[in-house]
Amino acid sequence: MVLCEPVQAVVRYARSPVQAAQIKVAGEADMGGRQGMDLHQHKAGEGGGIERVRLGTAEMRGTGVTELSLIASVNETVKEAISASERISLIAVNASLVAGRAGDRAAGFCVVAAELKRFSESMAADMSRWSRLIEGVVHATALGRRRAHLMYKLQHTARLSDKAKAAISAACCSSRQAVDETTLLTSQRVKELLELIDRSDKQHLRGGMIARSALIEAAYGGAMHGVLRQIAETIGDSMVRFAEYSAHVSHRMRRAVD
Amino acid sequence: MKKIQTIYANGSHKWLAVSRDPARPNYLIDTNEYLIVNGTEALLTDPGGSEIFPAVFSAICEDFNPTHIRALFASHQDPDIISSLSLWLEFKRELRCYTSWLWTSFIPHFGGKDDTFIPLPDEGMDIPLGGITLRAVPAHYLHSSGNFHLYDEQARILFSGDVGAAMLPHDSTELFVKDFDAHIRLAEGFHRRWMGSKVAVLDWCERASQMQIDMLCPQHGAIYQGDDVMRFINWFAELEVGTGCNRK
Repeated sequence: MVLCEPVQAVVRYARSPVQAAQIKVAGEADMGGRQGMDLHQHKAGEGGGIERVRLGTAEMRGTGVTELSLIASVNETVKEAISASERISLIAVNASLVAGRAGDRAAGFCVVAAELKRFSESMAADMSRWSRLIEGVVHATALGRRRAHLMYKLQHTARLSDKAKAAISAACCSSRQAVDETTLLTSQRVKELLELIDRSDKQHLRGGMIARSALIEAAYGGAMHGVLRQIAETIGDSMVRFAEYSAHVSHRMRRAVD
Repeated sequence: MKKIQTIYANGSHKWLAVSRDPARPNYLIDTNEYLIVNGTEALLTDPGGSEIFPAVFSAICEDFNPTHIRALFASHQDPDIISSLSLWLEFKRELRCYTSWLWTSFIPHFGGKDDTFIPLPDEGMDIPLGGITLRAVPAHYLHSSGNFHLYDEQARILFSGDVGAAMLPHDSTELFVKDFDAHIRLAEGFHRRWMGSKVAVLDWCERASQMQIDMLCPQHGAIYQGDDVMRFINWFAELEVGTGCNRK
């Protein structure tokens, strides 16, 4: 996408790729750019020229997907992951009950079920933090877009005449600071979210081991073997599903801030 | 860029009209902003939407130091009236905005905090400006349910918000009404549709006819002056309003 001249000029003021992205997207919206967002980013080069820096995701380019719609879409996957983790909690309760009914023959499965319960509790706590962090990212992104829009308008005003520039330059500076602060806030929130996703990925390895142990212990379940095996397979399926959602969120967030 | 023109001057007491932006996109309704100056204080009426803030601000800068603007006056809550508020507050945080009490919790969606707004009671109130007094005059239901006009008794000018508005052709450059009969045809559809209450119209016409008005300054279209002011009031009193929606 070729940038309109006023947008290019304003982007030169940007201090970071994220800030440049926010300003550019705000500017494109202002210039009536409805043909989709090229989220290749711009920042001030050493010689004052514009250097292209990749920030957006491949699926965002040319599709009209904006930062907020990306976050909303990621949030939908987060909700799926939370739902998968809730399902694992239910399976953990069921596994404990069935293992209890199977008696001594399922002693090994009982241990696995107790481990699954602990795992699901830890996962539920993580999911709660996922929710809060994604909410924080949405909030920071929306605030960033609003502030970038204000900054764009103020910068645009400054370019209309020397008198306007003189009168509004202080507001431009404070507006730029506000955008800087929001950019930092967004980066912090995204970083926290990615760290948490990493932690959840490691947890998932533990979940995979529990699923495999459940399958092995199910074989010693005697008459309850079939039921225990079915539960073990359900545990495995749910772990896989959760891992897929988690990987999807991680992948999209990493690409968005790459 | 919009043009700024002085429409009244008596010493340091002035009215400046900010109007007619040839670069304005067709999809945005044209607006007039009025800067009322007395001494080193100024008040800006219906500062406009966020889309036109750059044009309005830079036009004002041509003739006036905008840091001396003390207050904004929002006749009602529409986006073309006051959606630029957050930008004005970025420029000057101490700005105060006079508006109907009805909208003091709605307009903050555009920007501003509790202490930004000075609520106008339904009966209106006096607004001091550098030694003169402006009067916020009730014009409820014309067209907004909480609506005010601003009267400057000394200058004999009434800022009339959407009352008197006309949809001028895009290339129109006239600031004042030159041919009332031709102009009023451009105002008729707007008033039939936007003004919903005959009672409110007659109430306003009664009130306006008792004021001494040399200029009636709407937020859209051209300014009525001299005899055209009373012509407009009489025309408005006769107009069948609330009939602009042509239902078959």
